[in-house]
Amino acid sequence: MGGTDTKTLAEFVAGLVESYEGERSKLSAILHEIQKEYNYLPEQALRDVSTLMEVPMTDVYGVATFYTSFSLVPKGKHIVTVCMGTACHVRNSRGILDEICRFLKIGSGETTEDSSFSLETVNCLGACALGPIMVVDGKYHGGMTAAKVKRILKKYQKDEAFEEVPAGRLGSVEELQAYRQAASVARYTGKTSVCVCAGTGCQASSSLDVLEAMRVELKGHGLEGDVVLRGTGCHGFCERGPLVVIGDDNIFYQKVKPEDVAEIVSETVVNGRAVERLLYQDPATGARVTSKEEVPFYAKQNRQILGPNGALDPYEVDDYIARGGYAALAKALFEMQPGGIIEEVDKAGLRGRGGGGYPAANKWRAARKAHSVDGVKYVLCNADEGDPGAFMDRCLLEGNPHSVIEGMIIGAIAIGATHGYVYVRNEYPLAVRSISHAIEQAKAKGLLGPEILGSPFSFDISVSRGSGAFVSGESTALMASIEGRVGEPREKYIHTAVRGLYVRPTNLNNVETWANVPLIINEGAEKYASVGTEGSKGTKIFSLVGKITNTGLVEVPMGITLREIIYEIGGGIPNGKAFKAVQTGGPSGGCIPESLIDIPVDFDELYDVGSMMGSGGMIVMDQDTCMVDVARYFLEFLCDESCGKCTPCREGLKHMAEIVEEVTEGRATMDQLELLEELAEVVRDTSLCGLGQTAPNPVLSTIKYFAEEYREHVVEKKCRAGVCRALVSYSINATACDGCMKCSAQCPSDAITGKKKKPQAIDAAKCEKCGICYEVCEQRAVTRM
Amino acid sequence: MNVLIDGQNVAVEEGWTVLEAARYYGIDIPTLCYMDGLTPYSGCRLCVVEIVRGKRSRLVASCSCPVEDGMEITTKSERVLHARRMIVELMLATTPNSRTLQCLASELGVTKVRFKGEDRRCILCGLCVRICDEQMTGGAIGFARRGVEREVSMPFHKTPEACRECGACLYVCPVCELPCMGVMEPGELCNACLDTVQLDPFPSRD
Repeated sequence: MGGTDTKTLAEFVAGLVESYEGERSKLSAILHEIQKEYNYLPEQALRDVSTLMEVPMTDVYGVATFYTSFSLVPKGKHIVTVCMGTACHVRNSRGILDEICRFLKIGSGETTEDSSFSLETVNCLGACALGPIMVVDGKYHGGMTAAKVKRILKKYQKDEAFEEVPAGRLGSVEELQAYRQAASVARYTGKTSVCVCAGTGCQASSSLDVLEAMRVELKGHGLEGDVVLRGTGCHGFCERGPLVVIGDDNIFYQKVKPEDVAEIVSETVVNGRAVERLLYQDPATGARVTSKEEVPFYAKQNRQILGPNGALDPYEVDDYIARGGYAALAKALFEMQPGGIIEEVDKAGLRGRGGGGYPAANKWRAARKAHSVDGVKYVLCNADEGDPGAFMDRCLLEGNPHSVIEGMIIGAIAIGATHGYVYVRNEYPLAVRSISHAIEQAKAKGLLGPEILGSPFSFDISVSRGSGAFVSGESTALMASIEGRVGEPREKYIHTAVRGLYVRPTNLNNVETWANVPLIINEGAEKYASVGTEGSKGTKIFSLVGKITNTGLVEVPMGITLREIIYEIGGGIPNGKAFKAVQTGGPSGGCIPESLIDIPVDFDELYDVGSMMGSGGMIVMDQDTCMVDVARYFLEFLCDESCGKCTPCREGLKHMAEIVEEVTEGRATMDQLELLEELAEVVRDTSLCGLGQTAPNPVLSTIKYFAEEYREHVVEKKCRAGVCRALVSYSINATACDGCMKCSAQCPSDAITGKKKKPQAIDAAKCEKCGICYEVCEQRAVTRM
Repeated sequence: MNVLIDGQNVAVEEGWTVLEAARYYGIDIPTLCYMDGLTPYSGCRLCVVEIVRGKRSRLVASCSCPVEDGMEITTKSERVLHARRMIVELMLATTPNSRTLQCLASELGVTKVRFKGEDRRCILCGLCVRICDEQMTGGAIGFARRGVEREVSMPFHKTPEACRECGACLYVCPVCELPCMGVMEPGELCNACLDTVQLDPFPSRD
């Protein structure tokens, strides 16, 4: 680097540190800015940061090398990211990655020689319904196929970049109520509402183009005064996106393209008639349904938390207030005592939605009781939704951020907290933007900050961005990360409610838990608790993904059976395949086999069958999913994400992964299977934090329910699902082959030869067993053994 | 307050850890990442003991778990010993020549390493990092990266000015001592201290 560059770099870093006032807790934020500016973290920049912030160089280096968002080597001009989440994995994201590697001629984590592309993998982007997902420079591309990879990357090579469209204090309860009325008139009463889904999932299907076209079209008709156009958060039915919902009747259009917009405006908005071809068609009956509520996917749900997502603009606090928002806050502030709030939450039976299912009221009570040396207490919102396959927290933050903020303020009143943090993962840029914007709006309206709604209570919230580490979702690691340290856990024999963030009493709940709080205060504990089972009250949001017809977010009452979710809401398994298992609880959970499909879904039932609720990922697997491969997938994920602090998790998981890999390659023995189980028990027993303690669950549950599949891999060297490449071979049935040559055209290793309209043949020596020929053959002439 | 430790009812002081209580009464619990005068780290997990509460019991790291009145502690149950054996076995797979580890293996009766070996010469106990930072006010070395790639490192692998070459890190390291002379190949166990397996402590290297 030349002299002038060095000066610029030094100036840039100095300016950054100054703008963040040199606060240690802003270390990650500062590193993010440097990474963004230079595409990597230059050594000199880190040294300057260390000197200017007076943070030891070893700490800066530790943070810079711990998180995957940071790089110490320069990156390419375009960043290509492939999602390796569970849902994408079962839809063959590995094949997509292979194809990208072939096209760019680099491996994962590498940069092309001309510095034009860097290729990375990420453990779930939360756009699971549209998997497999590839992201280029922040733009999502869903439903990837090998052919699409080439087409899209070629565009970037030619630099045809895709465009991205960026999307007074209230002093008393009376003022809030008056404001609510005014907002209601301005935004809802007598207006036609046109809601275009702008959640991450629909954006991956280009919903922003639809939104823009709608804006232009409405203006062209001079309808701006009568129509309120909203770019809303996620509606849940991501698979059918882009979604558009219109008017009081909730006319529901799916798979809308910008070309359809003119017709929608002239027919539906102006004349109130539905556009038949865009309506949802019930696959069972073939009938078209008009309103959102009639769609079977929605009919069986109870969307008390997610529902508002589809009807309000997350960037307009007026929408939230008009629909009764912040009424619970007013009630908590002026009509209830802190102890009474906790009592209400206790009676409602609210349990933590982040995974453990710990009763929220118990945590709140402990934090309220705990003594703080200077009176400072914290409430935190865990939005580090790292479970691959789960994305409900992202949707809530993106689509209804004020409900989370309102919940946190109420929690702060109950606990006596003075400051809050929302810890959001860096892989969710839209969520970061939405919650940050909502916090600013709430502050401007006097709903957050000093003397809220004219009361003596003051409370503020900051956003803290994660930097790519699954383990940072663990409570003590999360707190370390907010403090600007490496996000690794510590022992918590002394609870964080007593000694948490900055050694102060701290209460941590996840996004969905906080979003439930205003509902409990508004409706009362009794009504809230009328939904659910004995031990689990209310609803739970699941992301229903994988091998299932209707993918997306579903909110269901606790106690519903897995069968109802999978078959009645999810529409069953596509392509006539057989259901095999459903994975819940992410990397900490387990696989539940078909024999248990009628169990009611709640915290305790799932735990009893060897899985857990987790944050709510529900990944459906069919006959083509290999359960050993699933175990291998989760172990690789966990090895990647283990912080490496304690021996059993760091070393134990590595050896577990080695053994399972040998099983998938047919090289393992039955003795090794026993060793695997023995090791799994010790890892569970002795690991320091929740990550390690639950890490063996995917292995133990698949061994428990699918022991036969393990045995087949070991003894018969056979993978019945045809997934484990070392154990399958492909051949072409000469009598069935009509010589269309689709397979040979697609084969990436030129292993298929033969003349046109003559039977083709596979050269076993060249075959990489990618399975593309098997997928493209319409004659079913390719056989997999 | 009182605790029940290996069946004996003993008086302990509030604020003690389980390890401190055990050592006070002469009960030996093996440790690798613990050292008097340094902040407990709870990383090696060798010091686990079993805490019984009613019908349920769990393993905790004794070096950081504070004693509670009426606590029921077992330091040598089969569950504890099995866990310790497995942990030593895991460590030996990455650090075969550590004399400390080889001796621990003999004491605990580990006679076989069943995992793929790879000599990394570090068990990441973090003693060096903590002694440098907490006792020598050096802060010259720290942890970098994560998971199996975690390493003790100087930033950018360059010796920083903060290092005074005091040697404290080497002094506390359980691995970079005189290696165990009984072991020739990674994955091999010495076990010379066990009666069952007698190896020549100084075999000729031909």
